Amino acid sequence: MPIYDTTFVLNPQLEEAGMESRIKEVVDLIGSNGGKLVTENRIGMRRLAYEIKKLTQGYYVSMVYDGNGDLVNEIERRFRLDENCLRFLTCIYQEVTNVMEGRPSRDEHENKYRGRSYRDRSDRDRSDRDRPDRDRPDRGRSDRVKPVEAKKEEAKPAEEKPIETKPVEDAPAKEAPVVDKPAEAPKAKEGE
Amino acid sequence: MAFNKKKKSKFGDKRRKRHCRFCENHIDVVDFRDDRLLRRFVTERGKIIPRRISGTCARHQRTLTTSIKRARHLAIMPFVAETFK
Repeated sequence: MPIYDTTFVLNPQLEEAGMESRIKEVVDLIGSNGGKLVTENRIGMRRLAYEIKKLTQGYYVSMVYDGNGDLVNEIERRFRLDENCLRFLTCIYQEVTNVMEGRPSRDEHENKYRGRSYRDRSDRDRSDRDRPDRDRPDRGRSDRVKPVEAKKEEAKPAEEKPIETKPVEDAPAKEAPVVDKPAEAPKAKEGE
Repeated sequence: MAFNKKKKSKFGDKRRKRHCRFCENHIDVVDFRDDRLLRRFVTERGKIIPRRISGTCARHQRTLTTSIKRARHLAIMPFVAETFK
């Protein structure tokens, strides 16, 4: 018997129980019709490339099973009757042996950068960094240029200095507008 | 000399040798669920890039085309994309 690969998309608005029952239904069908389930792969939620029934996301499941054509017909008939099955596709299973690396998809990229600035690259991979001249702790003025690795340890003592100087600089800047405003206001009234 | 001269005048220096990416990476099966891979072989509009431009060999272009078409059916790839990143 040939090995088939059926991928289907379920409505994500279904409750978890609804999804589970539909997946189980297919598994039971394979078992009861003389088939044999090889793998069940829940790909999960994925953005749809185009809207289907006004939905933008779908829950993808793929099943690889051994069975005859009647089994495939029965499974597909059930999918056709089910409104919550958005799409399905059955093809002869081909094993994917080698995977070529691509760029991260839009979804993955968005999840990675969710909630922070695009320029924030603090989590970038530095394993290939080979700049001993830059990472040297005694390079330049030690109070200004801090080595990257020792940043966490030095952070506390280094913070004390700017805190001392900042209030002095900030204080007159903040006071100035406060003083000016009342001074301007009476002048404007006089003009009237 | 004469041969080089002729070649240059016809195609300029921009002509580069094309390589089939699938042959180079020893990929036999193009998985239709792998949208990261498929999106490289599609224009911004979602059209399949011809092999004379992408350099894919005939055999792999055939498997790639069916994969893209399968992916379109399952809404993994768009049929038409207005804006496409």
